[in-house]
Amino acid sequence: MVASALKWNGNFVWACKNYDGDVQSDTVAQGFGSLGLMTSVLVTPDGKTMEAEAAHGTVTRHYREHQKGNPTSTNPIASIFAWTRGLAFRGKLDENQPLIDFANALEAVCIETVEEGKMTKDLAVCVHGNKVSHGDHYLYTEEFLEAIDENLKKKLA
Amino acid sequence: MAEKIKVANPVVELDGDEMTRIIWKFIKDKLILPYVDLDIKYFDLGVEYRDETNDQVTIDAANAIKEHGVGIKCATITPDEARVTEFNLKQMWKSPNGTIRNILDGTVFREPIVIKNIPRLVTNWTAPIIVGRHAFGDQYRATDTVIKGKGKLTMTFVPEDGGEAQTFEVYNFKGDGVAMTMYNTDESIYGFARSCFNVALNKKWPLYLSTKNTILKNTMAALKTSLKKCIKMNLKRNLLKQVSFMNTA
Repeated sequence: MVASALKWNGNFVWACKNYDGDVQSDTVAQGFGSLGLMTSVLVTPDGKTMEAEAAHGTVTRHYREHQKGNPTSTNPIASIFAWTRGLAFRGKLDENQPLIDFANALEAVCIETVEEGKMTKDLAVCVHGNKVSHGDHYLYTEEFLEAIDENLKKKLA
Repeated sequence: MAEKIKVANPVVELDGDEMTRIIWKFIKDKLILPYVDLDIKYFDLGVEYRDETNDQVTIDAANAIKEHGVGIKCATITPDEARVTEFNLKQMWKSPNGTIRNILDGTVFREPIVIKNIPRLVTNWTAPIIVGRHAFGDQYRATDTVIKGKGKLTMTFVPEDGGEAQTFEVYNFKGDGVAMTMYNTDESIYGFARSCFNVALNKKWPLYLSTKNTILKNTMAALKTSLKKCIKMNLKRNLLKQVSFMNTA
């Protein structure tokens, strides 16, 4: 399975026993490169209840800087996806297509914003290496969120 | 701006801690609420309020998710000793995610967001891989011990109905070593298999179970049986491309 997983391109669900899942979920997270882009959902056996969240923690290091009044460049994408995945599931349960469309649009906006070169520092480091600077390679948290807000307004206009 | 999207049923929001709490508020106020007319059942899972309510807020939030079907959660602090000191907590409260998982009895699936211009360490991973972990039993609820000296290790099951006890000889130690007993339940295995099946159906992606059936015959058989049960139940829906059993190694 490990050999196949490494060779394949993705688009599959990998069911793991407890210890295997502990190890392999970290392997997969590292292989995709950034915990800032990892989502997590809790699904009940009947598939009718779910809870969505970002797989990363509370980003304490950035919070300390924020408390000192320093700007941070914290990746909000996985947190946004907690909202979109939750709303899309609400839409599925309620058969509310406009809600599902909205969730999909917001996800697309996040991805497109990064693809047009606007991103937070963690992602800029993935692209350019450690020598990145604000303005040239990455945006501060608020700036990135504003960019998403703007792009979302355009998309839904 | 166009009219807000009406949502018939509520969602449960679980607020969190530190930097993610700050970002959370922006997301909700700027990216969600201007577009969606939403009944939000709000629970503050910030560590201070968990402490104030003796963690009751986490239990209440989990029950609310059970009732309404959808939970949207911000990242939270799981206290360790340093956090207990930092926030002057009454005790080292358990991980909120663990508490919620136990109440909902669900499976956690991790899925990466793939963005074209963000390189992956494994370069051919151009699409997401969802990993589901059966987070119950096995090593995580095992009894493990250090063995000193020579002796026989056995495993005994005593049926509650008064039936004859079954004893299995595990190993005859010739010297020092270690030993471990672990278990799982059909109910939990079946629940895990169904969760995996539902996620795969929802995504319309193939589902793979990595097995070690050559060395764990009975445990793997239980998992396979559960998945096969799901397959049978869903056969008429014929949505799932394939379910495969693969060796881990």
